[in-house]
Amino acid sequence: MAFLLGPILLVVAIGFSSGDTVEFPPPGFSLRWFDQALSNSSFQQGLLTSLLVAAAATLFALVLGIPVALAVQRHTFRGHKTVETLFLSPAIVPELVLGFALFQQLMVTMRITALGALLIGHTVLLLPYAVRVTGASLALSDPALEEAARGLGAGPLRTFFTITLPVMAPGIVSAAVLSFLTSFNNVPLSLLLKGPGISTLPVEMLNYVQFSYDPMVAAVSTLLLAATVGAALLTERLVGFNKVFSR
Amino acid sequence: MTPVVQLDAVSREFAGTAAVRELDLTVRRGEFTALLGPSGCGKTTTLRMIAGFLEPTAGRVLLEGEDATRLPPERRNIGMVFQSYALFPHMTVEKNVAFGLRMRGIPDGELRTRTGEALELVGLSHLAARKPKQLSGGQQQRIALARAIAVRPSVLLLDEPLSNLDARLRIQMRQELARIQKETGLTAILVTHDQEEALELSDNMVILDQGTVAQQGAPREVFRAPANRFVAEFLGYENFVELPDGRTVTIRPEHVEVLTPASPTPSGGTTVDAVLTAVRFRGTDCVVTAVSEGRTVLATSSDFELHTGGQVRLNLPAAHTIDLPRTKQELPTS
Repeated sequence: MAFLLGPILLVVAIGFSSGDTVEFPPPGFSLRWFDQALSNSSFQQGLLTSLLVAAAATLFALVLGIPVALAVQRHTFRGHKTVETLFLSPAIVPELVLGFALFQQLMVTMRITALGALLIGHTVLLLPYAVRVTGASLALSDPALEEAARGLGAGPLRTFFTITLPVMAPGIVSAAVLSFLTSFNNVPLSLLLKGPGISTLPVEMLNYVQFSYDPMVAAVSTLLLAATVGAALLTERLVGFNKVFSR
Repeated sequence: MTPVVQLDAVSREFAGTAAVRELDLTVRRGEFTALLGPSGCGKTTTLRMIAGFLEPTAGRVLLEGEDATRLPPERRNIGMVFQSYALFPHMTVEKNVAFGLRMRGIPDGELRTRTGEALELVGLSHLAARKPKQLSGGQQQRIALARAIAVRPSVLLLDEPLSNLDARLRIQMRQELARIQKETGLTAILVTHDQEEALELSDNMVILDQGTVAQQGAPREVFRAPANRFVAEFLGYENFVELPDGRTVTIRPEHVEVLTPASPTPSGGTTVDAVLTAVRFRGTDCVVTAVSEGRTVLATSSDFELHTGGQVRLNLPAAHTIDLPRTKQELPTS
């Protein structure tokens, strides 16, 4: 555990450094690098793009993935294993390969904008999470629940919104959190699918580190860490962490 | 009077195998019907076709005289209780029971009254605000029942509702079920593999074997006179004997008379000489295994002088000897 935490704590400490270079231990305490990070325009733009893409891709992945999970879990039709594998396959393909393939097809051949390609790429990336995690929560619930609702007079659509969706809620939340974080932190896909004014925060950080090596990157990292921990705590308060990640 | 449920030569196939074959069934108003049989006999398939979760591959399902064969479950006025109870975990007991009423658009005031009545009927009004996971198995089962009853269905469909309860609770709940059915006058169809349940609860007992009716009728009649070997075996009859005159019969061990070899032959029965191969002491009596010319007969006797190897004369009184035809037949329903 210390093995993992050590380097991370190091980075956090450097973020608060008053020095001009990355050095440990830092010469003094200062918040100036945080100030710099928050006012850096590339970082600001990167953050906005990351948030937008993560949110949108999560939404699309869920909208596409939940019906697939439902179809696979609740109905055994010919080829349902194939369909499931198809939707889980993006997780197996190396992201760089995926990124390049999408770059070639979407941006070069079809001339789709970087933002569009980013959205499509990230949605594809997140589909396995949407299908697998919501599928797992469905598998754990009683199929008789839906039959009970139908027997009591609820049509298929009403059954879905009053019974299936609420019962799946913890699974959906956990799929959403996982997807959001996966999209936000993604580098390989975002590296290839960028264009003028469109690039994600991790990519911007990568760019910055190549030319300047100062504590600003450490500051940004610390902020990201804080946000992630915050999201985890929020999930815990709202839904219960072990419920979310044990399903 | 129109029967509440009528199945007209209903068949259902799964991947080439017939689970239900040309089944005819009539369920009358206020009647408690039990669909009884071993695993795989088609009883649950039949119930699900009545409910609308399965479509028959042939035949018609009529509910209250109307052809409901292609009607989806939500358009049939049924109340179903599942083996797993299937209570909605994210709703309170009250919301669960009110669900069917809500789906029918019943106005608030009436909804609350009828929900209250249903909870009252099962004696669990005090649990209205609880969530299903806070209830015991028996309580969950009663709430599931209340939920089905609240909508005042044409027919109550029960799919092995007591199977998940422990033995003692099962017997208690059986009595509750009987009481509730009598009080509400609801027509009910119960699927079970437990013959005690069927014998105690039903007005019409339908025994299924591989998708067809092996026998149906009032429990007393069916039990007293099983129509064929399958039904007799299912009901626990143990003696299947081929008599000297060629008939295959069954007789309960307690009806077989065990006499000394020198006894006079009683009239009105079949008498054979046999040797005892086993004597099992049971406290108030003993169970003996007697073999006569290759036939094995089990009998009970309170003669404690009987011992293995002893010679006896067995009498099978005509009144208790039941002929078994070689093929299945249905007894006419009363």
